[in-house]
Amino acid sequence: MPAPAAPAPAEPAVASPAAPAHASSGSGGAEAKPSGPQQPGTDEASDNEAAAGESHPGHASLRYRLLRNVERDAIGVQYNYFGGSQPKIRPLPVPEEQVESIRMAFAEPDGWADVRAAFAKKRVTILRGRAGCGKKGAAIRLLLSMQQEHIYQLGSSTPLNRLTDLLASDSEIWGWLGSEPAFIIDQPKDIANSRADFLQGLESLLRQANARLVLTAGSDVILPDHGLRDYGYIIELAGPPAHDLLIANHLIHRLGGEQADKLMALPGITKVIKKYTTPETSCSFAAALAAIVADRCPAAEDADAAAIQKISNDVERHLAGHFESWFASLPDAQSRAFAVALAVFGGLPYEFVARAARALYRRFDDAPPYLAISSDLWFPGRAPRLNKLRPVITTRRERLQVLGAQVKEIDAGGLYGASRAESIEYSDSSYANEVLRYAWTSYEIQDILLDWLQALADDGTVHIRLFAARAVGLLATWSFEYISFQVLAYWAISKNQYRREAVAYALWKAVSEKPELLPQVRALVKGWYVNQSNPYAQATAARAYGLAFGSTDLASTLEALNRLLIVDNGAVAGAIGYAMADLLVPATVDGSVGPLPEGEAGLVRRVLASFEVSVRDRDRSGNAELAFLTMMNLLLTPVQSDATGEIVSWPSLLRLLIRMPDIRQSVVTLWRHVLNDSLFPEIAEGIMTQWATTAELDPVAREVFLRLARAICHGHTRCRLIMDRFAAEWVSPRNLTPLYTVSAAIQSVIAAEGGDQLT
Amino acid sequence: MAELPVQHAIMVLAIEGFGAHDAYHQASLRSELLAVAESAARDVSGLRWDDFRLVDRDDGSLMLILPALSPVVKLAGPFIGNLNRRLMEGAPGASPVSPMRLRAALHLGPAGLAAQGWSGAGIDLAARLIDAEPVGLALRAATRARLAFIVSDETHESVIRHEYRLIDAAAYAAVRFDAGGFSGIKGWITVPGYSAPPGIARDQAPSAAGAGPERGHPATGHTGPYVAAQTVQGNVIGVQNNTFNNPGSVHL
Repeated sequence: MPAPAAPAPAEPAVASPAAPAHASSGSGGAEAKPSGPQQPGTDEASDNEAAAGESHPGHASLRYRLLRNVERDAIGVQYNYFGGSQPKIRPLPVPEEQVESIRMAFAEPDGWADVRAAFAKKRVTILRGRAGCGKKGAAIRLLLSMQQEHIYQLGSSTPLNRLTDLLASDSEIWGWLGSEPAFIIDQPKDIANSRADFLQGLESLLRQANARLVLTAGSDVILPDHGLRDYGYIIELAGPPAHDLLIANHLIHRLGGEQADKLMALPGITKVIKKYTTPETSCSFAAALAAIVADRCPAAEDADAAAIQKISNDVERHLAGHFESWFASLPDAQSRAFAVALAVFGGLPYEFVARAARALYRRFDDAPPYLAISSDLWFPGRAPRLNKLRPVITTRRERLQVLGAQVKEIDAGGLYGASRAESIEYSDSSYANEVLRYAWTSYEIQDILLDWLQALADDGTVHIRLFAARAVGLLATWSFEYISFQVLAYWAISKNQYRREAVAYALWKAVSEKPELLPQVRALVKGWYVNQSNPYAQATAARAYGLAFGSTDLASTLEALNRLLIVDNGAVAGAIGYAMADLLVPATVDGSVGPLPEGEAGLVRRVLASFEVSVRDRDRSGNAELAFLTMMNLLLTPVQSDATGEIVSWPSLLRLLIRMPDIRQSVVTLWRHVLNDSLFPEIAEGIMTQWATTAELDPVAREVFLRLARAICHGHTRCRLIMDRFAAEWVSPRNLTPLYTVSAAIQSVIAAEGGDQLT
Repeated sequence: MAELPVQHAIMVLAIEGFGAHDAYHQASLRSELLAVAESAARDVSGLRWDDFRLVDRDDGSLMLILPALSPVVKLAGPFIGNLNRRLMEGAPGASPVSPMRLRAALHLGPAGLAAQGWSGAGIDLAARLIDAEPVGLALRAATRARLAFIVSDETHESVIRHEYRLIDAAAYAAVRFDAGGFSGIKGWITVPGYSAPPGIARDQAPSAAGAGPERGHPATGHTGPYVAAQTVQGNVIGVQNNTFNNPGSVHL
């Protein structure tokens, strides 16, 4: 079959993927067809995923890392469904902040040593206690005591009898859960099914899987079976720990021992604590109170009368639970625009959030007053008045304080490697969704928000685009029909590749946030998938398969993507490459050398096997090769070089050859196809050069690369010729970053493989 | 005749800031340490103070050596808890101005008594643990405790993580440190009364699952040269049941 009709890989404007393989220094790397990543803010959308994929090496890996920073719960959600046609079981990792908080600030209730000892005896337990005594926190702490590091929570409506299916299966999900996983179901709705004989069956399965399960239950819940107690499945919590101790622990965790001790000794603080805590106070409230105190008084010197009053106000608001009153208390439209921007872009560096906030505020400013100011809540008690931006009026510190936001140091990610940055986000992580939902449902600003999000989904910065897409996905969970008709349907057929990509991420977010939307999302995507008159819609469908459905049903996903390779269009082929990269990316983030978990390894094998089948199919081979090249180009794995200690970005597939020697033949076969067929010679050369650049920088990579090159050349004269040409190009006088070592080594390999016969 | 090194539980207690005191105060602190240790041990059922073999060093540290058959869990659990409590309460005659604070270390390893004193790989590692920088950091950050306690990785693996009633394994954080010419030695720190040891950055406290590869640790597959024993300067002034004096360099 000929090359796809519209991939434009050979067009002059499209550059080859000579990525900066070296993440921590600018040296090295051949200049075969240089382009590298574009500067943030200057990135322009292409209509063609293949073209975009080729000019953005490592982008799938980058996006995965970006989202993982903020989507600890949902990233990889395409992998953590279980259950075929049955109701889904969806283990989500307990948020790291929560685990860390329990690790650092847990206060033992009475009788804790006995609780611990009883807990150790059983793989499944029902942790029982009165409301507010900290059952879930106790469950996490107990699991930490048992050295269970992979803790997941399951929804309270999870059918307990389905747990046996999960535990008895050899589903790929085990690969994602990690070793010795533990599950918590907080107050399961069908606790009545937890009879002793049932739990005994679960216990046996959990033991085989080295797993644990904790169910929490209120002391008022009537359990179905006396045998539960006889067999030691029920553990009673005596009550909450001393609140003073819990608050002190949280203050120590947040502020350090010295400041915490000083604060706890201040009469004003002790008075506030005493005022708001009683023996019935819940642990979560005590922790929230500590957070408020720490936010208002980061140092004991800050605890003046005004600060104490603010603490009281904050506590009152918290107790009242009136999110609306908090939002209404924001002083001006600029603050509210910032609040919405923070809801969407929380977790990103401050400057990104501020830029998005300004963009939103400008839209308020430009909008007709009746549209922007349809509620008094935006400007309570005042005549509508929109100010032009006055950026120097409010400092970051003031802004953060008003919004209850915090600064965190993060790995900002980036195409040039890891870098530290200060991100901002709401201190109370639940606020992000609340703010967005409130802004969406309480004011007539839907069009403004969508216009704003569309502009940001087109942004040149990948961070902004991804987060904007997430927000659209979140909106879809509240207004699926509206968003799918008003937004997604248009974006899906757009020539703008960024918008199509945003659709896929939005659907991924929608499904991960609200799994029950999966059937509707499938139907929506199916419509695009079969739309043979519009390849852009099909490209969008391919991306959605990779992101939103993933390996929910891996076989169907691969089958669908494989079939779509018949569409003779570069955008579609490129999108399939992206989708395959999105599927593979979780298996490529870890740069270690040990064997891959079986679930991930199986995924890699199946994706490669799928490509092997399609490159042999004459009707699909061209698109399959383009998709394969796109996929390879999108995946980079950061690895610390043993030789230099620097971080080197390895092409992920090259790295996987170390961890999965059994995939060597598949990779060799696929490389031979793309080299022999020469349908995309410049892209292939660019990617091979990327691999060679890594090999030049890192001796371990060199060894793997040369072994692979030898296998590719072995018995294939044409491959030897092509590799010989590459090797010559890598040291040609025109090349500004020559690869002397690798070039010489490749030429030795070629000579050993019969290169003397080359003419 | 020298004992062949056999498995022992080796605990080291070191007075923080000992060198900053004058000789008179140092002698007082050493007496106080011995008294507090004895008192803490006598309050733990299952521990017999008479079984402890003591090496009291003039650098303000006290080594307590017990046969491996002793209930090590009680040493790491109730004994350390009692010790902290006693210190918090203040020993009789202790200075209220500068209360005694301790670093404590525990390792299970081979040790043998020769004419020159105790030696063996277990003694070496215990000596490295007590000098680990993270223990000092944790102790300085712990305003509500008087001691910070470190155990070797092997002790954590064989004792701490398997005991649930007397010890909360979640209160231990893994650290890596350099000492005695070895780098990347792994230990586990806890501070009584704290949910997790304070003052230790999370980077220094990798989870058990993600602790990373072992590096250069003599008991866990070290790659560098192995130093069989460490020579320190000081007098052994007392060994329970075998009291003797040594005027010079002591092989510990």
